[in-house]
Amino acid sequence: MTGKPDLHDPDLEALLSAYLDGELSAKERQTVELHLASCNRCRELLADLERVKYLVAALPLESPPRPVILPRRPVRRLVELAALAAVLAGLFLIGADALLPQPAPQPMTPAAQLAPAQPSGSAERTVTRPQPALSSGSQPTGVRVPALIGAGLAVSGTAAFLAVRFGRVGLLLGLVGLAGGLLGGCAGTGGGQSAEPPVPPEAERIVAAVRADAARRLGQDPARVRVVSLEAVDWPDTSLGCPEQGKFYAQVITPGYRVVVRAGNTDYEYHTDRAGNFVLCIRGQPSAR
Amino acid sequence: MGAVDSYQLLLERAKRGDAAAFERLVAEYQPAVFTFCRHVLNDPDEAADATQEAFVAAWLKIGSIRGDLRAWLFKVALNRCRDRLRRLTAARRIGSGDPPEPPAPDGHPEEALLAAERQELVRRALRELEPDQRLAVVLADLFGYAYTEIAAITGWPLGTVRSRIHRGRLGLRAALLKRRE
Repeated sequence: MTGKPDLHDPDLEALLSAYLDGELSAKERQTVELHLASCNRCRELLADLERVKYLVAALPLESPPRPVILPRRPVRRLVELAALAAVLAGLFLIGADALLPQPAPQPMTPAAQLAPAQPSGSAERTVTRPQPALSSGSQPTGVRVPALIGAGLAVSGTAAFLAVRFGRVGLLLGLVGLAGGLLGGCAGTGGGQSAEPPVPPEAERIVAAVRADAARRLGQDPARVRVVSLEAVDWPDTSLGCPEQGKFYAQVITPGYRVVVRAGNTDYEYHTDRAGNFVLCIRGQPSAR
Repeated sequence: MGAVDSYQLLLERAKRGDAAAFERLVAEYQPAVFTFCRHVLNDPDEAADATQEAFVAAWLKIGSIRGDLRAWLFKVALNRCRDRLRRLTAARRIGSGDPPEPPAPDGHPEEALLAAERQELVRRALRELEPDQRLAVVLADLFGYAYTEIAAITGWPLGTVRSRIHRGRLGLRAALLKRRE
């Protein structure tokens, strides 16, 4: 048609499928088109390749002889089971904690007891509280640890289960629940202790001094040191019930206070007189300042 | 576009653990994956097994699937098919026996018969191709993948994709011309 000789080019023929598929660069496409204009053989081949492409494209998709059966995802299942186990363990702990007898709560010293001790009083009054060790990290009185752990397990287990089952929405719900549970738990276990016992005016100065001493020792803000209990006590001598070994004390009844303060999770017991002297008493021994 | 969006939506739901959404995806892509496997393996039973394995792998690893689900499925299915091909080659079972006739499409009986015959001719011609050429032609022409996508699915260089598609089509043309004679 163009009058040019029909010169077949095997290299250009190899590009025909890519030309058909629109997979050539602009330069290659131009070269192929120039060649096609002069090569009958390549034009016929291109038409055949197009028919072949069409015939393959027209093949129908087939259905498998048996349907695909999906297993449950084992990891998901494992996480779900673990989450449910955590919920059950948490509920068990809460239930056990509710059923088991609890130690009687430590009575707060009534205000009347804070009155100056009578000189005739022969010994200190009510001292029933066990002394906590300074370094033992003893648990705060009144916190129901199993219930707290149980609540944490139950809420976080529920959160994990919801997250696995319902994805992000479940995770969000779970986190909201977790936050609510933690807040509730804190309020429930800590609420009773947030109110400090009443401090009579005559004891305010010594309580403030004790609070400041505990804060100084622990490097904390005095505001974070809470008074747990305050008892008026008549100490049998000037050691304030906490004698240092090898030291002698005047054998006079010394009215004062037993002040228990809490910083973090640990209680510290201070013995004081009414004049502003105090000692941090650890296992019956005064702690160095 | 809407269909693509809905598949994407189903995939997102499946990634969040929605088994029903994934089952809908299985129903949608099962014929394509099975057909692909059947062309690669030339054996409907083996292809069904490879299809099953590909979907189970997809379900177990659904969180890691990025991009086009069908291409991902083909890639996984191809690996399963290659494993099976190695075993089958060892057992000398490849290509033994002809597959059953596919059901005739709806429409005029004579046209349907002609179409079915033509399709069977094309299938037989495809089966005569070298496996890599058949795979290249099936991905390009039956499933309409671009050369870069075929390279990603098969792991071949782009030049190899180009030459295998061309040689495959030339082989098909020759086989079909031979059958016509």
